[in-house]
Order: sequence, then structure tokens, then C-alpha cells
Amino acid sequence: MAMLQSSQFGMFQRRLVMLSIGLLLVVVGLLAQLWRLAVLEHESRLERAMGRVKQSEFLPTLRGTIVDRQGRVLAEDAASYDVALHWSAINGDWAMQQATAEEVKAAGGRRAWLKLPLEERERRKQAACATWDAAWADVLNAIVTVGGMPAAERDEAIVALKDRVNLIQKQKDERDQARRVDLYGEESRADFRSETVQEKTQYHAVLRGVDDATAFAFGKLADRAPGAITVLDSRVRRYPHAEAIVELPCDGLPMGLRSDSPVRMSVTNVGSRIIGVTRSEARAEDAQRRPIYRVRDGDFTVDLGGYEPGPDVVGVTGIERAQDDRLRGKRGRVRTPVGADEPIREEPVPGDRVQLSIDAALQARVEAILEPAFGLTVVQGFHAQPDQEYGTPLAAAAVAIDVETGEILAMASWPDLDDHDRLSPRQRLALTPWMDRAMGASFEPGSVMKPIVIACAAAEDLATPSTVIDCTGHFFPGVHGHARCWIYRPFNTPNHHGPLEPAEAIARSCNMYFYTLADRLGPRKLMKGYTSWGFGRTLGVGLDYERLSESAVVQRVGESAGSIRQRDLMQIESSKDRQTTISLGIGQGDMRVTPLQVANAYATLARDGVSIRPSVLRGGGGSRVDLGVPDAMMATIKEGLRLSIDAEYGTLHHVGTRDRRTPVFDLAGIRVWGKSGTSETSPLVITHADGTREVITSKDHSWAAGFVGARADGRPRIAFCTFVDHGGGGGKSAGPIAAALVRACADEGYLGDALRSRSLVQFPDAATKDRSLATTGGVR
Amino acid sequence: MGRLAASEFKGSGSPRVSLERLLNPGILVVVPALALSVIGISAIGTTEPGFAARHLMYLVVGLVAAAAVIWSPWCRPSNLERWSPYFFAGSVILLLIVIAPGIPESIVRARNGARRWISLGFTDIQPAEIAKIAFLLMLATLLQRTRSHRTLRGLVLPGFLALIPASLIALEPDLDTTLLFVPVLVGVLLAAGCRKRHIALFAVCASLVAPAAFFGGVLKPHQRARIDAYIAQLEGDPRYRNDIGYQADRATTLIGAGGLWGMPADEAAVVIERNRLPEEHNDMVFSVICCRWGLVGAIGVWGLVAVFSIGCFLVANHTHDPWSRLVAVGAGCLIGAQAIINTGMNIGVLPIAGINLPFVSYGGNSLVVSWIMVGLVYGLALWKPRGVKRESFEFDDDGRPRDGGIVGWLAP
Repeated sequence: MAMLQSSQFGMFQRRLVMLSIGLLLVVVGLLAQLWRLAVLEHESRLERAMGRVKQSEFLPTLRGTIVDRQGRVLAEDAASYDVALHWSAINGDWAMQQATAEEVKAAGGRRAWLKLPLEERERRKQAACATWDAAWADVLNAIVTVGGMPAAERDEAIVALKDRVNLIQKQKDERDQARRVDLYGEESRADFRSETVQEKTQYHAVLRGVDDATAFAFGKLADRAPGAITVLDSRVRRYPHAEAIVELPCDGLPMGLRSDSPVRMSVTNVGSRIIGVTRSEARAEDAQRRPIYRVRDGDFTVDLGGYEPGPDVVGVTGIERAQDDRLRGKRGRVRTPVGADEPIREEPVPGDRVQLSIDAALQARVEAILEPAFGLTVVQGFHAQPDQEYGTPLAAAAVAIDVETGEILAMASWPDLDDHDRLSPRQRLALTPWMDRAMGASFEPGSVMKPIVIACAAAEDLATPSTVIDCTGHFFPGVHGHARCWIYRPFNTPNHHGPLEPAEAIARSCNMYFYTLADRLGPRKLMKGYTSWGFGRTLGVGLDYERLSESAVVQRVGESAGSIRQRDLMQIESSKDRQTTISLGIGQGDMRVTPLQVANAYATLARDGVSIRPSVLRGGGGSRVDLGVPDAMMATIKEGLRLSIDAEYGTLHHVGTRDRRTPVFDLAGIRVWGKSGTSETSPLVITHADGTREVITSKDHSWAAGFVGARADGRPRIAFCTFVDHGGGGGKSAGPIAAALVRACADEGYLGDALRSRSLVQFPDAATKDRSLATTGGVR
Repeated sequence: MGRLAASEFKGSGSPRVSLERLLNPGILVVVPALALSVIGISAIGTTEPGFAARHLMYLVVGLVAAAAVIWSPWCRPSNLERWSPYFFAGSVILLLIVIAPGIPESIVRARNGARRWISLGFTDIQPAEIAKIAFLLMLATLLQRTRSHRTLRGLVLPGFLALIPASLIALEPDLDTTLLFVPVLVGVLLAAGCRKRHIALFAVCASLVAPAAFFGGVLKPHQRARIDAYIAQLEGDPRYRNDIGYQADRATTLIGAGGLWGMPADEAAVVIERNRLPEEHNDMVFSVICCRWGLVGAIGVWGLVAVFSIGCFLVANHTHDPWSRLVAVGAGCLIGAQAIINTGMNIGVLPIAGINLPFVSYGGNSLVVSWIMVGLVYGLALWKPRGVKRESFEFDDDGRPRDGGIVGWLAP
């Protein structure tokens, strides 16, 4: 064609060709990227795109049940109803909207309505509004009379709903405006238009978990107030065994509390710290942890068990949180893939049934034992020189572990979060009910570590059953002021134990013996030994979980690791600091442990030095690991622990004054091996709201740990640890609690049927308390 | 080479038009433009039927404007060349009006924080669009008679000519449109015989200036944030996916979702709507095309753009008038570069920029001005002067191809 001919092919033509080739090369380059998107990544991107189209077609599922080791249901989902108000009603617009619609219809349509003068329209609307106002008043009244919600609480709930939705709107406006500023600069703020959030077109639950009759009544009311109120299907988390009635025997208690008549006590929220609570709304951090839509290595996947911000049930604490991935199950889905004629339905998968190793009845007993009303966790006359008033409550913890399996049978801490309102402000500051003293916080252990030290020394061939160490009262020759044995008072009673063998050293809790062993071990071997016995690290019992801190760092929370050193090991070794090392030998100095860790260590002792990772989940215990303690030394250690209970000089032998003393463990048919601990700690000081500081107590921490079996076969069955925060002498404070704990285990049959109590723990039927941290959110 | 007499360039040809004359290379400009406009109407109509109807109306206006440019005696190449300085000055004045403080909002109203439009009451005009054409005409006028652009010093004036409207547009602010002056300037200079090594030097300097602008605080925070999001996207970092990187994420998702052949119109409408693609009828319309017609549709669009640009180059070759040549080349470079930048940002190889897809994106100003350019180019082919005695932009001192084929062609 003529138009394609040129008189010559010169420089200009060459440059045109160059430009054309350049253009085509760029297009080919773009085509490569487009090929990647449209062909190679087509499936994943299509899934993501369709996911946004189809996300409203998820089917809800049922959250898993939590049961105890006996199969008692501790937490379950139950079908229920929620009564919900529409946003227009919450915002006060509903009545006027209904009146306007009614009058428009009466006027013959919108066009006819708009022809009326403005004043006439307003007059008619106001007149009609009275009827709808009355209907709204009936709704509000029914929430009180039929729903059983107090009027003040109803008004608060409505205000809270309004504030929440307005906050959502405000946050969305801020996000949208920030995005516009990012795209167009600051000048774009002036012409920003707010987009209404969907919460302003939805119903919001005001009464949750109502029964059928209440739901029916509100359903009829909804007919008289259309668009204002509705009844929605919902689920509520029930805790059927949350309330318990426990009968505790008092015949084995110390003088002053001892009685032939048992005490009947009511326990609420049994095992609540372990079971945990849920929240009815998923947040951004939940979606970040486990999103519904995820892209990995270019592949897009849909996780039907994932989170999406909005109404959802999310575990917050305890097992509900730690096992949330198992409990929440998977949503179902109805979707129509591209090109398909029929929708594909994926049925929802209910959450797993999670069985705990906890025995709810034993747990109820232990929680009752720790209640101040029972008497063991208040300052008593049999406590060693208390510096608080008699009857002052003391914070405490108790743990019981099955020796054979490592499963945790009971674990309790007092006070609990539920006790917050029962305590005075001063008591809250002193007793810190938010602290889980059983496994969430750590303390100086004191003498309960001594049997562990000797076991570590024996494993390193530094001690044998015949190792005799002479207790001279103080460790450093010529230095009388520190590194002393507890029996040695340089100016008053410069006593000492003299030469001791291991068993007696344990029973008498001689500091010198264990200073010497620790010195022989040295810091490195001692710390290594402690670590192998479960100290200075989390045990992974199944209650810990990841959480995003405020500084966006992923933390593992739920179980404290404690610490066995805070100073650098090399610094200790290089400075030849013997004081730090020998202090560790008696459980003092740079050392913090949890009662759970101590109970676990004593369970290992009960197994002759074989460690099993403890677990709060049934069947969740770890594998057996032999820590290499010679059998002969284990027998010696056990003998020492037995003497500690049975020998009159044993630190866990008796409690009370010289004239009125009773055995700590006063129950026939059992054999107990144990050790007390009294650990020095800094005084308990609280700071009041006005800034003043008050010393509550300067007493030491009190520990009692050991294991128990039926006397008939002598086989240890249960390992235990009890702890009293600033309780004073170990044998005096923690000892009686340990004895009560042992009695509770016997009553529940863990020490043989012969010792099982006839008085069973009662759980009143259908405790339907909803312990979820329900936020006042919308419901889809 | 001596300067040619002006009369040799100003032949406007006979007003008689034969069929053979109508079927000139300019057809390769008109047909793709029409096809792209129709594609645009259909793509916009996928999600915004109302806008599609208006786009059709703007197309009609554009066609009328193009026809006017083609057939009006005032728009013959000779007249356009003569009036180009005044046209250029007028466009600069319009640019000054939009950025000058104190102009009433009834005349210049801010949209999304930018002052880019002048209100005429019945419609708004965008001076930046007019400035692109005015610059092109003025640049062609400047370069057609000289060879000073063969020297480095001689590039200063064309560069300065580009800087005037570009800097005014940047102050609106509209940094994205400013960037379009670069490919036009480079393309026209290259066609006019500028030495390739000078272009390379210019590219090296630009690559040094760009990071300096980024790190030196020249860019506004929201512009820097866009660059950050783009870099994160290239690295596969999803952190900006839900804020500043949102637009790019949704665009690439929909493009990928379209696959090879796209999806039916109803389904595409729902998918695009639910994925909340911003500016789906405007800057991101290419994503809609890919979602609707898949890879095949995208290749079709690129093919039409390539035919358009190469058509402009063929017009340049067809007409021997140097001014017309440079205008045609510039038009091809402008439309081609604009399309590449727009589609590049849609598919994620370039940062998000406020540049639309010519003929396809919704926007009356842009469509009408683009069709005026079509009319201009077609008119150059239709009314090519007859008095030209020799080829323009042929420089004897280094223009001879060497033995060795394409290597000789690419030699400076």
C-alpha cells in the first residue's frame, strides 16, 4: 500500500523503528507480569476475590466442649436466643421513622406527601409519633419486666451500644480520611464524605441467652414494634459444674480449727482460671494470628477455622484460649465456584472435645480449702510469729499431680479474679487477685529445693547415701554473720547439727549440708541440674499461649518460667562468687520458682528421678526421662522426706505450740513424704492511691511439698505443693494446707477406695452462668 | 545542511479529498482509538452504567471535535504551526489560573485536595490536558527548523520549554501528569535527530535525581508513602495491603481473578463491587478489563495502543513535513506512554499514579482532548504538504547506516 512506502529508509525511519521496538518490548515486559497474575496466580487470586464475594455465606459451627477427667462437662455451647434492638431504635430515630412512613402512606405516596406544606408535614409526623413512642416505651419496659434486666442496667446497655457503634463510625471515618490523605494529600480533608458503617443498619443484642418463653414473648412484641426489636438465634457458653457444694472434714486440722463436724462450703466458678473465659468478638489481633484468608508462597488458602474481625467466639484465657484452635471447629460454607451450576456446601465441623486432667470435684475441694472461710489461709495462732492481725487473709496456691502420668489433678490459687469485689481496696493491693500463684507467678522456694540439690549432686557423683557433712553452724570459717544454718544464732543460740547423713539432713533441713553440696556442684552444674528438674523454664502444661504485646512483640504467656539465675553464669564463675552458689543450694538468692514446678519436681522424686512433663490435658503428659539419680540415693532422699514428716525433729512433723501441737498430716492409712520450706523474701509493701507506702508484712514465704500414697502399698500416687504468700514458717502455714489437700485426694479416692469419703461434692444442676466477656456488639 | 525555506514547509495541500487520500496511515490512529473508546464504554458499564452512558456522550463530542480539527481550515498544519506559540502561551495562562491564589471557587474548585479544573458553568476543563497538546505543538515548532538539538547545549531550550508547563502542573499538584512530559520530550527529540548518547545521559541524570527527590524531602508525605507501598508490594510485603497499598492489592487480585478469558459481565460486576476496587471506572479501568475479558482482553488493549502509536509513527513517515512529523511522533509517544504507565500501575509493576488509560478511562476532558489529538494526527496525514523537496531530520554527518545491520542503525 502506498501509505507504507517511503522514499527512503534513513535516520528518521530508523529512529521510528527504534521507538516502535522500544514500545513493543515494554509491552512484552508488561505481558510477562500479566501472565504471572492471570495464569500462574489465577487460582489463588480468584479465591481471594471470590472470598470477598462469598464471605457472607459461612455457616456457623458449634464450639467444642471442655470436660474434666471424669467426663463432667465444664464448658459447653448451648442454643439460645438473643433479644436485639435495631440501631434506629437505639439512636432514638425509630419512632419518627415509623411515624413518617405511616403518614407518607396515609397521604397517598411520597409525591403527595411532599406537596404538603412543611409545617403540616411536621405536625402530622409529631401526632403520629406519639403512638410509636408508646410502642418503644413498651419495648423498653418489656426488657425489664419480661427480660428480667434492671432498668438501670438496660439504660446502661443501650448507652454502651450507642457509644460503641458511634466509635466504630468514628474509627472508620478516621481510617478512610487517613487513606485519602495518603493518596491525595492533606488538602483532601476538606471534601471528605463519611460512609455509614454497617452497624448502623443492624440489630444489636441487648439481652443474651434468654429462654424459649422469653424469646416467644419478645417475638410477639416485635410484631407491635416492627423494625425496633427482634429475636435472634444465638449460642451461649454454659459452665454446668461451675458451682459446687463441698463438705470438708475438720478433724485433721490444727488446734483451734479442729472439729469433728465437717464444714459445708459453697464454691463458685470452680476451675475458672484453668477453664478460662471467651469473648464474643474477634479483634484485629485474632485475625492477625489466624486469618481466614492466608497467602503462603503465592498460594491462597481459606482457613474456615480462622478469625475475621466481628462477632465470633474467641477464647481469652485458660484452656479456652490455649486450646482455642481445637475448640472453635470450622465454619461451614456454601459457595458457587466460577462456572459451576450448583452451589457446593461444606458442612461445619464442630470443635473438638477437650478433656482436662483436672478432677472437678477435687478442684472444688482444693478451692474450698484455700478459701479464708475454711481457716487455713488466714493468719492463725499456730502460724510462726505472725506480724498481721489474726484472721487476716493470706494469698495461697495448691497443686496436685498424679505421679504415674504427670497429669495435674487440681491446681488452685486464692484469691481469684472472682474474689475481686469481695476484697477491700487495701486487700486487693496486698493480695493481688489477678495473680495466678499456682503457675503464673514465681517466688523464692527456700528449703523445698534441698532434696533436688542432693539428687543433682548424686547424679554428678558428688554425693552418696553415706556422704556425711559436718554442720558447724556457718559455712565460711570465722564468718558468723551469714551463710549460717537456720539453727545457728551467733549471739543467742550458736547451735549446729553436727555431722549429718543425707536423710537426716533433709529431715532437719540443715542449711550447711546443702551449702556444701551446692559448693561442690558449682554454679554451672547446679543450674543445669535445676533446669533438668523443670526449674527456670516453662513446663508446657497446656495453658500457655501467644499474645501480641503493646510493642507488637509476640510473647508466650500463661505459665511463668520462674528463674534460677539473674546474674551471668560466667560472672559468677569468674568472680568465684561462692555466696551466690551456696544460696542457690538452699533455694535462696537469684532464684524464683512456681508451685507447679515444685509439685512437678516432687512428682519426679516420687518416680525415683524419672521426669514426665506435667499436663493439664488428659493424656497430654510427656515422655519419661531418667535424670540419672542412683536408686540408692533416691531411697535415701525418700527416707529423708519420710523423716521430715514422721520424726519429731522433722520440719513437717507437727504444728502448733509446744503445749498444743498436732501432727501436720493426721490421717490414718496414708504414707506421706514431704518437705517444708521457709524462704526469705522482701517485705510486702503496697502503694496507696495517694502515693503513701505501707508495709503489710515482712514474713517469709511458706512452702510444703511432697508426695503421698496409701500406706497399704507404700507407692507414691499424688505429688503436691502448697504455698502461702508471706505465710511465715513453712511447716506452720503451708503444711496444714498440704494436709488438707492430701485429705481431699483421699476423699476423692485417689489414695484407695478405703479412704474415699462418703460425702460427695455436689454440683447444682444447670449452672447457666455465661462467663464470656460479651462485648455489646452487633450480631450478623 | 542549510535551513530550508519556510515556504517549503507550509504547503497545506489541496482541499480536494480522494478516497485514496482518506485511506492514509492515519486510519491506523482512528480505528484503534474508536475501538478503545468502545471498550472503555463497555468496561465502565460493567460497574457504572450511568457513567458509561456519559462516556458515550463524551465520545460523540470527541468525534465531533476530531472531525472539526480534521476539516477546519484553521486546523491545517500550517496554521497550527503558526499559532502554536500563542496556543502554548494560552495553556500556560490557564495553568496559572488554576494554581493562582485568590481565584474564586466558582471558577477553580478543589477536588481531592488538588486544583486542576476550571469551571465553565456547563462543564469543567482541565488545563493540563490542553497543555500536553500545546507543548507538543510548540516543541515541534521549536525543533523543526534547527539542528541545535544535536548538541547538548541545544537541549536546554526544549527542556526549558517542557519545564514550564510541567512545573505548573506539579504545583496543582499533579505529579503524575507532569511525568508524561518526559516521554513526549524524549520521543520527539529522538525523532528529531537528537544524539542517543545525550538521551542516555539524560536518563542517567534522571535516575540520580529520582532517589534524591525521594530521600531529600522533595516529595510530599503521601507521595513518599505511595512509593513505600509500591516497594513493599514488589517485595511481597503485605503490610500496606489494607491502607496505602489497598488499591494496588485489589487491582492485582481482580486482574488475576480474570484469568485467561475473564468472566461474564454480571459476575464481573459483583466481584469488582465486592472487592471495592477504587476508581474502577477511571484510573483502574484496566483491572476491570482484565477481570471482564481476561488476559486476552488485556492483550487486545495493548495491541490497539501499539497500533495507535505505530500508526502515529507511520503518519510521521508518511508526511514529510518536519513539523507534522514531530507532532505525530509526539502524539504516539504521549498516548503510548500514558497507556503503559496506567496499565503498569494496574498490574503492579509501577507505583499507583493518577494517570488514566487514554480513550478507555471515564473522563470527558481526557476523552475529548485525546480525540482532538486523533483528529490532529489524521489531519497531518490527510493534509500533508506537497512542497517538501527532501526528507527532514536526516543528518549526513552521522546518519549513514553502517554495515552490520541493526548495529549500524543503533550507532549514534
